[in-house]
Amino acid sequence: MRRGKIQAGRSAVAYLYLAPFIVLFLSFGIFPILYSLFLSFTYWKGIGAPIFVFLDNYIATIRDPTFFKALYNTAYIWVFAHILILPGGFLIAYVLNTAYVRKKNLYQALLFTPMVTSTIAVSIVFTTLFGEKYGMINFLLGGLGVSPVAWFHGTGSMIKPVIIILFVWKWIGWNCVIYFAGMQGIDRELYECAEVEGANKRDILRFVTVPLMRPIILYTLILSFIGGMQIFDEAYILTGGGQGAGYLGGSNQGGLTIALLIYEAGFRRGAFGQASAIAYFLMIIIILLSIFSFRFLTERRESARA
Amino acid sequence: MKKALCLTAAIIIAALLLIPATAFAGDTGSSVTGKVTVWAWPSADKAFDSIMPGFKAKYPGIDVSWEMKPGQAGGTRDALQAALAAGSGAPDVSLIEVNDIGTFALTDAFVNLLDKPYNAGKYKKDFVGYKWDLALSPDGKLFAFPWDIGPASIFYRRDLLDKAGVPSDPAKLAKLIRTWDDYIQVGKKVNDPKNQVWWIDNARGVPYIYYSHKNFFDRKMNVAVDNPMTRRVLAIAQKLRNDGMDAKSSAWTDEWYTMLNQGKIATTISGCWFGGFLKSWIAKDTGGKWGIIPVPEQPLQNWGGSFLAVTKQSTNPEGAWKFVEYLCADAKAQNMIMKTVDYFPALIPAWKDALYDQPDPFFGGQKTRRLWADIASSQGPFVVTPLDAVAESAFNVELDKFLDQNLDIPGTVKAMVDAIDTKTQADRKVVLHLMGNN
Repeated sequence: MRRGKIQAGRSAVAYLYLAPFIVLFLSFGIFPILYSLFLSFTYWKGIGAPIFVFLDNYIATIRDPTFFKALYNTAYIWVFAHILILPGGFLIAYVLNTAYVRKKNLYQALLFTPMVTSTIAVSIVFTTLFGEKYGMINFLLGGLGVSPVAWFHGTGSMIKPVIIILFVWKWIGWNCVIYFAGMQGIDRELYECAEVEGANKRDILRFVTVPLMRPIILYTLILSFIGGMQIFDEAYILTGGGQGAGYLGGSNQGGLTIALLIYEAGFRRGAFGQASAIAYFLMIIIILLSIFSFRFLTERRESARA
Repeated sequence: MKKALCLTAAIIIAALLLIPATAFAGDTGSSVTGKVTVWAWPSADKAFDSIMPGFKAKYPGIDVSWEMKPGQAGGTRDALQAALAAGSGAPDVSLIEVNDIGTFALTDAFVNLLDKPYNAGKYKKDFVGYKWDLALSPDGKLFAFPWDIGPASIFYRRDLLDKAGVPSDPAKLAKLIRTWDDYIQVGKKVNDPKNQVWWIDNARGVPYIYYSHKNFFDRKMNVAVDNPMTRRVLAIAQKLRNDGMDAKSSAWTDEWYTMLNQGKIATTISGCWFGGFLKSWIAKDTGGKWGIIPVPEQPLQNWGGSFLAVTKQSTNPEGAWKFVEYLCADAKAQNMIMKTVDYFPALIPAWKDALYDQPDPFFGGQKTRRLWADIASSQGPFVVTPLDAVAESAFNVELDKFLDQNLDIPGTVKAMVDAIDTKTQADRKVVLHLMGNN
């Protein structure tokens, strides 16, 4: 009993230390999540009482063709950006990890620099860089004999590549640094054993490095999935978010992402209920696909052991 | 006991005598007092400064202070929405732009100025009809008060027309361009892409101005975009695009500013405030080279404008109304603002002033203000609803697709109707409900 009281006393102090964080987390973290679930079943303009409309918002979202366009855009951007970021970052990290490269820290710092820039500032620079008539990129392309590309106009099909380029430029360093740290943790002896067994560089990569890096790869995959599905800043600035009556998503809504759609519903149209419904759709998709990729990657490990 | 009774009676009588005195304080105009806080965005502060001397002379007891919100109209709207949702922190008066007036029409957060003691209804005849309609909620409350409008016209470069041998005098040009077909004919002479001169900055400008915050719905809230006028302006825009007469430049981008400044664009359709923009920062050095003519076939066009609204949270609504009334409904105040910041009054009596017959050197001596006043008082269809801002977005997405991918007109009109329908579905129910209760 006496021990219980001391334990209780210690617990009480512990909870007291945790209290500020818990209070803030509950009010600014948990409460908005739950309240927006409630809101997704209502019609609410931000002022006055929310009116219950049950599943109307969800049905309206499914009926809206722009929702599927936004899903497609978001998935497209994510897939192509990460085809470049994940394997690309991995290979760069692998090369950095070899003995041939000196000044590893310098390269790491250089690769990581885009991460510390302001996405918004860079996006604004990109709008000028990719301008159709006076942009630097079209100027360079002109030098190569390519006619000027309408990056933001026309069918809007070039907007996604610009967003992808921006996204890759920013995030490849992050993944690279994580993979590099992971690779540093692999014991050199394993490489030496493999070489003794007669493995060449490609085999070492395939059978030693990648399997040992699997947990880290899974980590970056899931994190980048969650982050990538929520892409907003780049799409917002590049498709006229700051400019006058900008119609979000750009020409033919080529740059419309789910997060942009949520913003448009919530803050441009004041339809907070609708916005919450779309946000919950996004959450369900992310959860389902995360579970799927988790199962997919861990299953293979078990079959490898067998 | 008797002493106590007498004392109590004396106090009661004294209190009763004071009541009428306090009632008087609120009644007569110049004895309205108190503080009034205003939220707005630049250059409204310059406008307020310009009228303060006159206001102070009339209402010495009212102390007006203002706060310019960052983020222009959008930032002010966001701050206002947050304060209204929170139930506190809202100012007495807020400036609201026409793009946001629809959102606020569906909330019940502003004072109905038709009620006593404001009685704003007496001003209805003094204001431009479509502007007054915008300030009415679906259930007939005047929740905001009109300030300025943006009568739209075609801005053109005289020097580019002269070079092509087209008469650049506004009166002559207006006679020459009576229809959109005329506009295209004249444009063919001026358009010279090889020498970097385009007739219009963007073909989308033509349908855009027709549907600039109006005529998306009929008075019963049905989508009204499927009509011959839409098909005509879409056809005109498509011809301009396909014949290479537009520079395909997006408004408000660096590229657009550069082209305007360097005389690569011959015409653009915009609101009257665009003149002020050209003069102050877009094309400062092109003075004397511009002119304006009304939009052919349907001169009644408008782009932009704002309102002042008194919030229900206000603790001094009467003082707030006095400020709003003075600023918006007093011709002298409106013209002082016009002189200072070029905000075009929605107040018709203000246009009688000689100010509107002054030639403007930037426009080659043209009397631009008189022309804009005439444009604002011309006849034409102008049905406004709280859902116009959302409808405009949906419309313009389809419009851009139509021009960029050279789609067909019937399909585009159908897509526009569907898009507007989808996006305004939920809100329309609310509006109809409010109208029904009227």
